[in-house]
Amino acid sequence: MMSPDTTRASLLLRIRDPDDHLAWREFDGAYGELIVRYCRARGLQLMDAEDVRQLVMLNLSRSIPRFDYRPEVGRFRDYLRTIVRHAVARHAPRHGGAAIGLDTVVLETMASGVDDMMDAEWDRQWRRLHCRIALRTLRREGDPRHVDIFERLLGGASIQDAADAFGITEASVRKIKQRARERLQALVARQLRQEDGLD
Amino acid sequence: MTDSDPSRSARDDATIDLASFGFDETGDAWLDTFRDAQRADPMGRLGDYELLAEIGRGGQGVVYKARRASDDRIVAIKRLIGGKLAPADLRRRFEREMRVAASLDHPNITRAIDIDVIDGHPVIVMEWIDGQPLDVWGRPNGVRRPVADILRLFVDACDAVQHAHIRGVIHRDLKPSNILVTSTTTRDSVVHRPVVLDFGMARLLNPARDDTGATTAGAFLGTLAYAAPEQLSGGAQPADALADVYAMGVMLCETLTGRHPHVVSGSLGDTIRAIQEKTPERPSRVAPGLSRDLDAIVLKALSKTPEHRYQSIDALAADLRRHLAGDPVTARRPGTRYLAGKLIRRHPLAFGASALVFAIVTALASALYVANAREKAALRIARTTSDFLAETLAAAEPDRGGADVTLIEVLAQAGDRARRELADTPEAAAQVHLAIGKTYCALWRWRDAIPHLENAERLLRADPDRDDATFARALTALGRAYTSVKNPQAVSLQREALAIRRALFNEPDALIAESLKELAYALQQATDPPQWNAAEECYEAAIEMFRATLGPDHRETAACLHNYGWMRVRQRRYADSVELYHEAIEIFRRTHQRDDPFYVECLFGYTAQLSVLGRDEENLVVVNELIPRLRASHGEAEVGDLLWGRADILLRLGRFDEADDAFADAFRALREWGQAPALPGGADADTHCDDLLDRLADLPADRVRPVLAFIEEFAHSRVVMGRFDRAETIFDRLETAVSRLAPNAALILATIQEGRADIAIARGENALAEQRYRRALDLADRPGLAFDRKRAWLERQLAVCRIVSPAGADDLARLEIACAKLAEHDGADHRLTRETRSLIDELRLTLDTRPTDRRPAP
Repeated sequence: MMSPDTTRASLLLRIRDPDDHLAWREFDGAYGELIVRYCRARGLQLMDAEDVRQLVMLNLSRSIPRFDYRPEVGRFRDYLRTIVRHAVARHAPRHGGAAIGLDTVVLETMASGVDDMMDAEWDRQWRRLHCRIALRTLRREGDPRHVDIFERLLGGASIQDAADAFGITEASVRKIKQRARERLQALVARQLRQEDGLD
Repeated sequence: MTDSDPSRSARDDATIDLASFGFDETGDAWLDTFRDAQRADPMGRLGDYELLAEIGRGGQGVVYKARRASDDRIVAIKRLIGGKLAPADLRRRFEREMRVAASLDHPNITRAIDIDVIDGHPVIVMEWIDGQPLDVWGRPNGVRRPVADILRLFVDACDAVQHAHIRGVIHRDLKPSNILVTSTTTRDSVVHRPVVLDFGMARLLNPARDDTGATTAGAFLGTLAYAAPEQLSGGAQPADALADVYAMGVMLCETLTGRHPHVVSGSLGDTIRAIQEKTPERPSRVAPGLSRDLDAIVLKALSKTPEHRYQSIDALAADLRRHLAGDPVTARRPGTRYLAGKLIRRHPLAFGASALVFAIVTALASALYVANAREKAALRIARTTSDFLAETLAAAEPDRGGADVTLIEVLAQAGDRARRELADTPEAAAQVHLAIGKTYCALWRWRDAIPHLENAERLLRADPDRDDATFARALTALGRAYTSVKNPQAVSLQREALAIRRALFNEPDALIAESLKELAYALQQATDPPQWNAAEECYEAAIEMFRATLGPDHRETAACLHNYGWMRVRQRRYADSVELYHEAIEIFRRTHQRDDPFYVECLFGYTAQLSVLGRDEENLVVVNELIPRLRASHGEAEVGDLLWGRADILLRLGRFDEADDAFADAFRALREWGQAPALPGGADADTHCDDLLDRLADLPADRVRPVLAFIEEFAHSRVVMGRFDRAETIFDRLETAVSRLAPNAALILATIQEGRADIAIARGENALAEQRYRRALDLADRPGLAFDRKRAWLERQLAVCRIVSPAGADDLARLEIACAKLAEHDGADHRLTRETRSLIDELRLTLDTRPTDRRPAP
């Protein structure tokens, strides 16, 4: 069971210790899903996507401890994306599948400051990851009734439908929706700062 | 500013990123972003399978729910994480291990449907199990299920793991999510079945070895909370079956107490230290009401040192079963080997038919059979006691070449030792006395058992720290012993045990049901007059509760039905008793437990009541099943009564040739029991009869009367067959033998006269018949139940005799009186009573229609 007190910043710091299995487990749970969804969107079968996930995690566990994280050079999300893209490229031909040494390649790339092509799909999946993380926090910490009402909206219900379902006014529903927006924005902002080492 | 512009700060990037979520836009762009995040992405296909959802992810593999396109079947697909990346030799090992795991065939292990390589991915396709994880099932809405239910489920789960262990497959990743519990509603109850998943997966990759490159990743995704201390030490040796024992202990503790035995929510290092170093708290401290025995079982399974744990998962299951049965558990003391087999062989069989001749067939046959089953049951109980009793038994090892030692003698020694050596340790003394007492009970030596059980009860009652569950067991055992000697205190003891169990457990509970059963038995047997209504209520409640807790087909339910049936026999409600026995028998048949000794006991009850009711066709089938079972387990000498019974049934069915063959069989068994030399094969029944009559004086004195009784029965069969002269000859020889060898055998003499009277009736010599019936009545004019019954029957015969010689309404009235007396002794259902009732009805019709001029002069 993951500790609810784990922050994103401390997580990215903790995974520098390859023996901190709980931190890696949490990291894999979140970012592993990002990797798989990205790979699937890039056309890989699920099983191949899982293999890429496994490979990336394995190599991260070896490279992260000696990685000097400097946000001005490269952000974590871009660092991760590069590793994944290379793993996809190596894995796609499905020849063998021996472990590849990505760390040297990535570090050199980062050091040169070159970050090649934008990847819209990666950005989308990355956003979805942070949305899911923020929603989990909201559900855990928010007022249960307000969370229920917001979930109804999230599921596609209109303001009026939600008001009818819960026996409240539409104005109340709008207020709850606005509060959820503000809270989620704050959560996502914090997550982004922590990911970039700014908190 | 571009992405590569070094002047752009990280904070600027974060702001840009945040904007991409749509928060700054008007409208619901941000909400759409979150909706998109929630949407489940299609998982795609894998060969013929549509992947529906990821079900579980562990250190070594991932499980998906999938639908097979060819038949729409829902399955679980498992694959090894990183399988395609693994070296060829590891993949081959994986496939080999999967085949071994897939070969497991057990109702509590999920079944493998297929092992395949699909698109280069080795997978195993398993049956889909629709069930709850064990921890969710064990505590629905946070409230623990009845302890007995939990223990029974764990017994089944242990059986599954044992099945795998003996085939060389270790699980190594047992945890609640790997044991799903299905719940099936039957007509009477809900049956819960555990299904163990994921055998063979965890064995494949040893986290301590880094031969694949994927193991490091696997290690951090493993589940620590259920890992045994030796699994966490990182040694080169892979953990063995005892790791599975440990994991089962953790789950048992969690389910019973609602808490993990260790604190596992902290850092990894703290968790590992707790598992490896800290002693878990006793479960009864966390969840008051749990017994000390359960404490011992859980703590033994959780021993840090594998050598101190149960040495097999089967040993854990055995102790759980003992606890459920109310027997002492081995966890509370180290085990000791016991030479049960040798003592069984050397215990002289003191029982024979001699003490039981004048009993009805069922009681006779039951005592013969149970005498052997008692030995086995007693020794089983003796084996599970403390070192104390086991040491005493071992000290009497027959293979030391000494004189024959009987179990009874050893128990007596143990009792003496207990009194001498345990005087200062009342808790230990109580346990030993309870064990000795229960062993005597298993031998049906109630009077030997009672002093020990009274000691145990007294010591436990005086102990303020006593374990209430043990106390209830002692009360139950003493109450049972009191019932058997018809001491009415049995009722109050069983009521007290029931009250304790009701306080300890929630209904329905199998132990509460056991107390209800024992209370019912006490109410019917130990009170005068028997409290039938109260006993009936208890039986009904017990049966319903056994069904609810153990399922409709459990042995305990059958045992309760059997006792209830016996009550109905005592009430002379034979039709009801037959239904109850039949129901008990069907339980054994449905569950393929015909080898259970208790099944035979139920068959005895059943055949006796079928005989009473005159359901001879059905009875023949039952007896034909019973005879070979008894012959196989106890030898020829023990089936004699059944063989006589079979002959009797064939006689009543008019199948005389077969009856004669059956009588010949019965005589052969009688000769063996009576220690008469065998005759050449093929000797018929008459030859046997004459030979035995010649040898009567040579038989052991205690065998003479029973042999005479059986010969008389054979003689009567000649009457039924119409062989009157032959019958007369045998009766003459019998009378001579009785007067010489058994002059006080009045019942036999009365029966011989009855037989002669029957011949007279059959020949139409009614006056002679009447004379002989009266002579028989004189001979049967003795106190005792057997004589009472004989007199009732003779009066019935006399009444019939006088009507046959035709008579009037007065004779019919006498027959009515005789019938009433028969009903009083044998019950209205008894076939003889019913036959008499039918005869009366026929005669009444005859008398009413007879012309008045045909009536004889008074």
